[in-house]
Parts: sequence; structure tokens; C-alpha cells
Amino acid sequence: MLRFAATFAVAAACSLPGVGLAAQKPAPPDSSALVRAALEAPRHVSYVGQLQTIRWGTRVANATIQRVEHLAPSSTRRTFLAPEALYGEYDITLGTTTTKIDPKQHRAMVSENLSSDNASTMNSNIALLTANYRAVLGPVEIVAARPATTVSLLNRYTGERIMRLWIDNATKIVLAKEAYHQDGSLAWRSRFDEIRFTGEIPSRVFSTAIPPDFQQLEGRRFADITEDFRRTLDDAGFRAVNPRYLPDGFHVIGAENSTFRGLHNLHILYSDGIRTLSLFENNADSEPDFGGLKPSVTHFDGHDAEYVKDGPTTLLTWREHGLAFALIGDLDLDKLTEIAVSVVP
Amino acid sequence: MHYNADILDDYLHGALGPERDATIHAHLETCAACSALYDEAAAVRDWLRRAARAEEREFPSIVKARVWESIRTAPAPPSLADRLRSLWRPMIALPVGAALGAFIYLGVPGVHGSQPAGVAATYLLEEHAAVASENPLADRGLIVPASVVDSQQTGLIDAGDAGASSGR
Repeated sequence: MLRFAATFAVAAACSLPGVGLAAQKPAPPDSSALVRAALEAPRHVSYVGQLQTIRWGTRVANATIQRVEHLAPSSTRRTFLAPEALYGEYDITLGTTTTKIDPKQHRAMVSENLSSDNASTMNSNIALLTANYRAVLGPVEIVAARPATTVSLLNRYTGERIMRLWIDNATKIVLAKEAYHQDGSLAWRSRFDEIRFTGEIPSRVFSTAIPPDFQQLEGRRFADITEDFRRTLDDAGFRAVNPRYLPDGFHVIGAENSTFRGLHNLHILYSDGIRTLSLFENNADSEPDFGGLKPSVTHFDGHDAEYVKDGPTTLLTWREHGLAFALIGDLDLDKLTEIAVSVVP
Repeated sequence: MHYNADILDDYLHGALGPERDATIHAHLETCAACSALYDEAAAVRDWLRRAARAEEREFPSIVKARVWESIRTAPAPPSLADRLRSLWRPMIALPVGAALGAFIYLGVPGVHGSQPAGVAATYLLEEHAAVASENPLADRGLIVPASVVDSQQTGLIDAGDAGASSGR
């Protein structure tokens, strides 16, 4: 599977328009090139701005506002301004390491993602995106008082518009994004209310020094798929299984093992370049703990299953042959169920 | 004869007795003026309902996660045995407690081994959000703040150790 993913990424990258002829004759800018430039822009463009994000659920929505300070190529600080309960919390990402600071509870958490600052990971993302989505240019609109070109990303298999981008004409930074459900309804939107392009950001903004009286928590470490994926599956402690069906365009992009209350969990991650799907597996003889969430019951293939919706995200859980499974993604319940049916130990 | 708005409002909300309700129901079939007044009241009611629905807000999931975290980290409430001990004298509590314990252990199926709590759904949602947000096109609002990360899903590390540790 790993070999397939790597081969796929290289093949898809080589199929990008203009790549093969780039040395002879520069290809004219097109929608795909614009999207690629937008994804790579944070590597060389620094900025300070205020970003608002709204996530819609079935009936209600919730929002956050963050101040974002980004120093190219890979230093970013995000500070929560709203909601009030999160005001003042911030996280600083330096390359592959993210430090989350909660000043109210005097807590800090350091996590690491070896793939997040990796050129091949970026190329794989772009390759998946290009293979699965068609970029269609739209009109120029004003976002944060700047002209931005709109680009719709249409799924090549279903024709559905899954995402719309507003790309700054001058810097190619994405000023706004909207993601849509399969039925066309809005799932979430993020948008800069204001943005200023500058590299003059004081170094103390990115200081990750943790005060001595802060409680430091062990954070997440996501495996680098080029080295750890196979070993991660072997380390699961049980025979891991994969779904036999995935929606068109989805491929495995990584896996990790984690421990919660002493329970070993395998987490396999899939993506189609925009949407992400998580499959969790463990061999504990226990029902999932929904806590304050109120799950609904559903049935498929002779199984009793439960699901909850968290904004645009759906979590589906069920048990089979001594294994407990959970599927999470911004996909409709029907689609998640279709995947779940294909997971047979 | 016409009914006033208060009576029609009561009729609209089903607050009248069966006999009065039937009388007004029959009257509305034949009286255009009362029927118009009734429609107006119904329109106002529908408008209010729509407005109320539009104003409905749900706690953000991160706030719900925080509440759940607080519940989990709160001290456990006193058990039934603790409460009985505090209420009863040892002379009575000892034999009664022993008899009750034996009855429950031997007589109630499933008590011998309780099922362990499974993985928390909030943990799974947070884990998914953390990883999904690495996609350059992801919703950055997915980022889970430190304050809502369940302390039970992490381990304390020495303050001097700046490196992240694997969960494996």
C-alpha cells in the first residue's frame, strides 16, 4: 500500500500540466498552476492577519477568530481572539513541531508531525489534489480589501464542487476558503478579515519557551509515512484491517498508534487531497465512551452502530469480530456506512 | 357574532375545552372575518417559531469537550457504600453490608467483571482534527486548543524535555 501511494504520488505529480515541458517552454498560468502556487505561497510569503472560521452543523454553527502571524517558510503563531473561553490561547508551529500554550490553566503541549514540513508530503498532497479535482477559475472578488481570484475545486468523479478558494492576486496566499457537503450545502468557511504582508515580525512572537510553572503534556507524534507506516501497522498489537471500499480518489496517507487510558489505538488516515478520513481500530472489549455527546443508532450489515455529528464532521462507531472501529470524516453518513460495511476482519 | 383575538389565540394554541374548541372550529368555516384574524395569529406564531429556530445556538464542540474533560477530571462522587457507612453505625453496617454485598455478587449477573470504559469519542474527534488540519487546504478552525485536550489522552513529561514523545 505504501509503495502504491508513493508510486501514485510520483505518477500523478508527473502528470501535472506543463511539468514535462517546463524546461523548454514555460506553460501559461492556468487554474491548476494557480492552486499549486497558492499551496506553496506560505513557504515564501510572510503575513499578519485575523482569520475567522465558521463551521456549520446540521442546524447550528460555531465560530472562532484567530490572529495569525506567519513568517516564511515555516513559522506560524495562531492566537485565539474568540470565543471568549479560548481567548489568549495560542499555538506556535516551527517546522514539524507545534507548541500549544494555555495560559489560563498553565498548560503546554508539544507535538510533532514529521510529514507537515516535508516537501514530498506537499507534493503528494498536490498530486492527490490534481488527480482528484479540476480547478475552475471564477471572477475576481475583494477579500480583506484585496483583489482575489476565485477557484472552484470540482471532484473529477462526481462533478461536485467540494471547495472554493479566494487566492490573493499579488501574493497567491489563500485569503478565504469554503468547503461544501456532497449536497452543496456549506460545511465550513475561513476568511481573513484583515491581512498585512510583512516579514517584520518580532522573534519573541515565535518563542516556544515554556514557563517553569507550566504543566507540560506529552503531545501527538504522527508517523512519517515514508518510514513508519508499515511498522505502525505491525506495532498495532492486533491484525489491522483496511476497508475494501473507499470513495473515489481516497488513498491511505499515514498511520499512527496511540494510547488512551491504557487502550492501544491504531489510527489510519486517508485523503483525496481535500477531504480527510480517519479509521480508528482497537481490540479492547469495550464500547466507545460518548461522554456528553448524544449518539444516534444506525444499523448496517447486521451490526448495531452509533454515530454523532460534530459540525460538518461525522463519527461512526461499531464493533466486529472483537475489534472496535471508528470512522471519522467530513462525509455523509451514507458514505461512511458504505466504507464501514467493507471493513471486515 | 365574532370572536376576539384572545379567544382565537387560545384556540390556536389548543387551550380551550373540547366543546368550545368545536364551536370555534365550526365558526371559522363560515366566518371570513374571524378566519382572517385566525390566519393572522397563526402567521405570527409561525414567524416567532422561525425566529426562535434561527436564534438557536449550540455550544461549540470544543466547549462541550471542555465540559466533558471537567467531568472526567472531577473527584469521583462518594459511592453508595461510603454513604451507607456514613449513615449507619458499624454494628449494623457490618452484617448488613456483608449480606448485601454477597447478594449482589452472587445474585446479579454481570457484576463480577465490569466492562472497562472504551476510547472517548472526543479523543477520537480531537485526534482526527489534529491530523486533518495538516492538509494545507484544511479548516484551520479545526485546530484543537491546548485547554480542551483531554489530559487523560496525554502523559506528563519533564518540563526540561522539550522534544515530543511518541504515543507508541
